[in-house]
Amino acid sequence: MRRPRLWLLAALALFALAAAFLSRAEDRSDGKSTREKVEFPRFMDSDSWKRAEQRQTLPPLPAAAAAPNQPAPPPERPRRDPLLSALPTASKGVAMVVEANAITNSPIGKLLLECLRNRGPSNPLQEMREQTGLDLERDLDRIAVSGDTVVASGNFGKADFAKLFENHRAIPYGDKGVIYLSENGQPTAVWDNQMIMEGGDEQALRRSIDQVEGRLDPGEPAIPQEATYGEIYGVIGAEAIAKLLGGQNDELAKRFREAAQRIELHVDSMNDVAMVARVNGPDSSQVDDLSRTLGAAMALGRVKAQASGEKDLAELLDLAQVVPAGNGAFSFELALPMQFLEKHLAFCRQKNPPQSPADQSAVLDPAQAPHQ
Amino acid sequence: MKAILAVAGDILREAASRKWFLVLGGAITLGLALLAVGLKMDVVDGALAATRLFGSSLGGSIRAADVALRPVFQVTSYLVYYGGLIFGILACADFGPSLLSPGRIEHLLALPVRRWQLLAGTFLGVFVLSALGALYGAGGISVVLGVKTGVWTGRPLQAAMLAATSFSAVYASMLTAAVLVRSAAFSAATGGALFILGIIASYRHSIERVFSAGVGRSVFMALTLPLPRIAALADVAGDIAGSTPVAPQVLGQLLLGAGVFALGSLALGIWLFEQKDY
Repeated sequence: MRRPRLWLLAALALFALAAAFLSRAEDRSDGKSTREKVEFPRFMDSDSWKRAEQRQTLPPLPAAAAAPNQPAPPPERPRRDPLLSALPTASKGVAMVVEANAITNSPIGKLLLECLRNRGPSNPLQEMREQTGLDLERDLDRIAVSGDTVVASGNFGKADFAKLFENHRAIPYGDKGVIYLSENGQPTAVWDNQMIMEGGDEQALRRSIDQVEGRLDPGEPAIPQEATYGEIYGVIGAEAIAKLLGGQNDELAKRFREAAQRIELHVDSMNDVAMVARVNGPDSSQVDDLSRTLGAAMALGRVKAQASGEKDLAELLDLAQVVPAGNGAFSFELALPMQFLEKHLAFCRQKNPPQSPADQSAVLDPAQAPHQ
Repeated sequence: MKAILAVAGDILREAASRKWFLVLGGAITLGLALLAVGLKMDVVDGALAATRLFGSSLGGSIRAADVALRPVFQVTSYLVYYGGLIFGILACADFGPSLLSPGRIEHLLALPVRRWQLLAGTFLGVFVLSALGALYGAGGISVVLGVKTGVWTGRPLQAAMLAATSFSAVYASMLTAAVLVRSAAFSAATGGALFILGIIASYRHSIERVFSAGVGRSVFMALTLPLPRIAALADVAGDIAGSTPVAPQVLGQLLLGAGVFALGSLALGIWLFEQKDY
């Protein structure tokens, strides 16, 4: 064979080899992008507005009669959401709504339900359904907490309240409310088979029903309608955050107490779990300082996590950021990618996982598991 | 090997005397100098708190400096990659035709240098040239940002080497085209065509749906199979620079694919060169 022809054969062989390599690269990458980004709930999108409007099933509060020499009140007041109407007025503590039904149908919700189902010999959700007719997976829509009051909304028409409140005294209240008082006086209220309210005293529950039925104007809502986006949303008082941080980072807790007035929280769980906490305060320079301190604390925490080999924590802090918004506000963003959660909640998929924390950590870290 | 290195050295000397490359070197140096002078980064306890370019705030979030710089390195990687490829295609198109120009080629063939060594040397010289340019740009930005933030990383340099490897696949075809038709324009057009086809090949599984199932789709898939995945390599280079995890096997196969394609093109060029009478 002449030497030049060797070059041609070599060229053809090399092109074939290149094709083989590139074909294998395609098989391995499987068309998946490496740059899937976490979507943060940063604003109320059109779907959230639509959802909020669909929930406004209550008529507007009657307009207050205008006092003499006072301008007439606006002619129309907005329709109302029963759950938000039932919550006590804005407090300095925590007011939070969990979209239970949406979370149940999200990837993380499904994983957590598996945990619940696989834990122990029986399924507590199924037991509850059989005993009381209450199907939490299907019937529960939202759970809200504000101050001492907890309100669950949904379709509880099939629930057997007589059995659920077997030893309670039922007191009808308002147009559609029933207050159940336990033997020790602990009240629970049910409104129109749509809401179950608990916490506080009987008077507080009467007030909630009055607010829902329009006999009492709740004033400033605990959670404004424009903040009802994400699968978990609400407001947290700065004091509550400071208490949470106290002991772990006293300096940061002190700064929160001084600078922040209100923290609005939104968590999206429809794909990954992404959280946005919007911090507001009256003094913009103090809020600015707080944002820098928080950013620095995160960076420091990440370096510490890297140094101490806590790869998972370092990976999470990679996705955390502080976004200054100016005018005395900033956002703190944190994400838990679904891949990360699946890795750490892998034991949920196992039937009857280990119960003790030591056993559980062994499942999380196979290297620590005893060799069979 | 000595002959190949000598030819490669000639290419580098020739590049140094060309205005194009002097302008490129000057532009990169000027860009780096402006960045060094105008960029002010406020790092508090390892977190990048504020960034100003010539006094104007660039906004952005407060986060660990190395995390905040990832998108910067990623953008740098894309600029070096695509910018380098386009510049390389235009600026290096003339090396092959000038090597084969009447008078010079006869002189070169009279020397104790084999034909394949001439082409291999030219290819090696251009590869070194592109690698040096990419490393200078990416390395310069790494140094400037390293000095300003204390974040030192070699990832942009790795990404730059990927860009050089990708260009080598394109340039090998340009050299082969120059052997076939002694024209800088034809050489550049071949480089440009492979650049575009390489991007198409990166998304061929998405594009194949455009063709109805049958011969057309099979031909498209067969023709694009051996082509270097230009856009896929650019994404991987961006991921490396931006500290996004990259599957090592995918990276290896993509690099090997581009490298072997370059050698295949070079072998084809040598075969064509061997057929020619000068």
